[in-house]
Amino acid sequence: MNRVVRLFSTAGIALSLLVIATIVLLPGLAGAQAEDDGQTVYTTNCSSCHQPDGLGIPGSFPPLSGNPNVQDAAYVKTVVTEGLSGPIEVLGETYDGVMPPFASLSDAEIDAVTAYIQADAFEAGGGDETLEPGDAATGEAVFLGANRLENAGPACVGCHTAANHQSLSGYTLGPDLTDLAVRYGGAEAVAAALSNPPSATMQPLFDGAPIADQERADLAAYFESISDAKISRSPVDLMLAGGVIGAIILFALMLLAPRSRKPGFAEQLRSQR
Amino acid sequence: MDVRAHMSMLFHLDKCIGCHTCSVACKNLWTDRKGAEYMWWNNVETRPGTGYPTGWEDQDHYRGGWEKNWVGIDLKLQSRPKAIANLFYNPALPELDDYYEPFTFRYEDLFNAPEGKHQPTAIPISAVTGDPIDIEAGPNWDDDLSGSPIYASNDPNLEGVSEEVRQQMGEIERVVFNYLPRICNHCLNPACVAACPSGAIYKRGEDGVVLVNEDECRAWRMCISACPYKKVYYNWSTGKSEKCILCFPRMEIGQAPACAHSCVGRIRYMGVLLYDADLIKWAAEGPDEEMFDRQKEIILDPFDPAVIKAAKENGIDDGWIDSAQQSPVYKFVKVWNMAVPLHAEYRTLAMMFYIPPLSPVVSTIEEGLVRLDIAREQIDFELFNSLEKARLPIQYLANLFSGGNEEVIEKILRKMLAVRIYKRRESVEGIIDDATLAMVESADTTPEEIEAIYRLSTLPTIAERFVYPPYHREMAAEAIYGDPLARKGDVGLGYIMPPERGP
Repeated sequence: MNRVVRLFSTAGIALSLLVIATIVLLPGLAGAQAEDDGQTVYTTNCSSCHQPDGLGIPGSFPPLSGNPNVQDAAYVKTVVTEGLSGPIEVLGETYDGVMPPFASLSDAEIDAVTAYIQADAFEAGGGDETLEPGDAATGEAVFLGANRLENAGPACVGCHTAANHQSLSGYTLGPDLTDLAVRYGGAEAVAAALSNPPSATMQPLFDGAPIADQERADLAAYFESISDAKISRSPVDLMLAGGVIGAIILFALMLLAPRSRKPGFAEQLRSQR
Repeated sequence: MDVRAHMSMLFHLDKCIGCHTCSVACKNLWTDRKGAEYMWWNNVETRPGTGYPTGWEDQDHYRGGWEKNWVGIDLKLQSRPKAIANLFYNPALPELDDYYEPFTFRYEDLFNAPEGKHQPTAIPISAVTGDPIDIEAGPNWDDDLSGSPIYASNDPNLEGVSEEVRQQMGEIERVVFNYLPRICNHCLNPACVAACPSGAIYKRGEDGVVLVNEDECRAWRMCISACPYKKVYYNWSTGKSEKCILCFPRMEIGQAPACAHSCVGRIRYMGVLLYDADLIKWAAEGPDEEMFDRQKEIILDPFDPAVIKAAKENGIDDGWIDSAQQSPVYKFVKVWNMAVPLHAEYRTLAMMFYIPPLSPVVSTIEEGLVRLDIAREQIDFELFNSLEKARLPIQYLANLFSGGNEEVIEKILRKMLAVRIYKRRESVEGIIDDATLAMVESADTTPEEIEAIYRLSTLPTIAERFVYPPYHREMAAEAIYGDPLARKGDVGLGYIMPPERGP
């Protein structure tokens, strides 16, 4: 028996080491890639929304190329570290996307990327990325993991909830994605953002496993289709209610347990007195 | 032949006065700690009685030891598949009530109580919770048959003893009991080792001491159920199991274990036994009535050149072989055939041995106390010839020691009586008559052997009682502990390395 148990515990330890190694090493590797080279920083963090050519996405993400605001280095730094949301007007056009804070970037990296943006030496082309129109139903399947991601990335539902996929079918590690399309200002922006997920948590996960073009389009279509869905109940409430009911049932069972307990030897003996 | 050495203790129960000094010495040295309050690695029981923990011999309840099945032997607690299935379910554990709730007294009340009409008293409080308790049990609650007769009458060893004899054993002025000091038996086939799911318990190679590795222990507590002697204890504070370590740190510097060293009656002997590890399986799988004979078979003669050669091949050095040749335990067990292990039928091959006690001198040979119609010099022989009428029933002692084999016990008692009668004749009467010599012969002994038994039983020096092999631990100290002087000047209390719960 010892051997079997040892085998199990060895396998368990190996597995947990693997998990720990994944958790510890992956962000480390990602961090190691971040260099002070402005272009690299831009490609890694910015280009998914603002596009490699710096022209942005109409209606959602403003262009950086030719944008007078970027000449103010202090403003750029504030936006990068604190994020930006709400409608803004750039060069006469209105944009209403959401920019998350990039807290993981170091000062040196921010300075480098600011210089890169200010130089306005963006790579030409690449901004005309056109995707096939996506299918919302396929997108939902991808979201739920029913269709595996082509490059073996994790399914969205592992961390996120969206629309009616709440609580027990979705998880609350990441933000709720129901109104993602609204926040980003349209399916196109969502698809663009997914080409290089902007959050520090998602980056290491999708670093070696980018979401394929067709999948991005499908997901974007799905998010657009649910953008006005109502969330019926907070997943936290549902979990809390489930936990309380479960605990009551467990306690009720425990109340019954002592009645079938076999009396100890001394107890039996002393009851003879 | 796979010869190995074993440090064994021998208890001469005929000399035990039941003073509990051994228990107190052990408690002070090893278990005077939080979580260990209820543990008595050494305890002394009054027999007949239920002992400590209450009723430990009732293996239908506690499921300790091994049992025979169609393939060989298996733990009575569980088979391997069942062990996995029931890993989190082990109902055969003794409860705190089966040991006793450790207690102390609130002595400060004697000083702090407000002035009143009555003398203040120190009330008993639990040593675990600190709350006032009613003391209902202790480590020797039925000491000297005190308190209630329920303990003695529920002794599992009375099985097979007739109702009439049971009544007699409890009658006033004819009441009879003996003492049974117990420590871990450091078995050759230890059930605790076999039951541990973490592989934390092991039998030390050089001297056979069974130890718990506290770093590996994961508190499954299977050892506690599996040990038929209930000599592994669970420390509720550290979450680890603990047991008698045969005072190996003392043995390694040539001192007797604290219990043996402190023994007032000098009943304890220690020495090396050589045994054949290849035969353990054969011995453990024998039929019940042969258990003791087979165990004796695997203990080897340290004077046999073949044994000495095999021992040296196994790395047992001359010091150990020499020590085995002088071992008092070897003499009592193998040469004189006077010692038996406790409950041979548990099949753990216990390596601590007992010389069973003779009945009290005034014996109930017939219905009355002493027959007045026989001449004084005949009284001794009367008991010798009618051992079945001894006040401590042979059946009882056989159940306690030899797995129910009465013949073994009878032979031993007869030899002990022969020594007693022979020496009494020699020192009181001054002559050894033919009747005595005939009795000596019928006890399967000789005057020379009797003299040797007498000397080792009654007049041994400390060096004769405790024969230690050279452990040469001083040579290994640096390798094991690093700087051997690192702890010099420490008070020697508390933990060097506190045990930590969990993996």
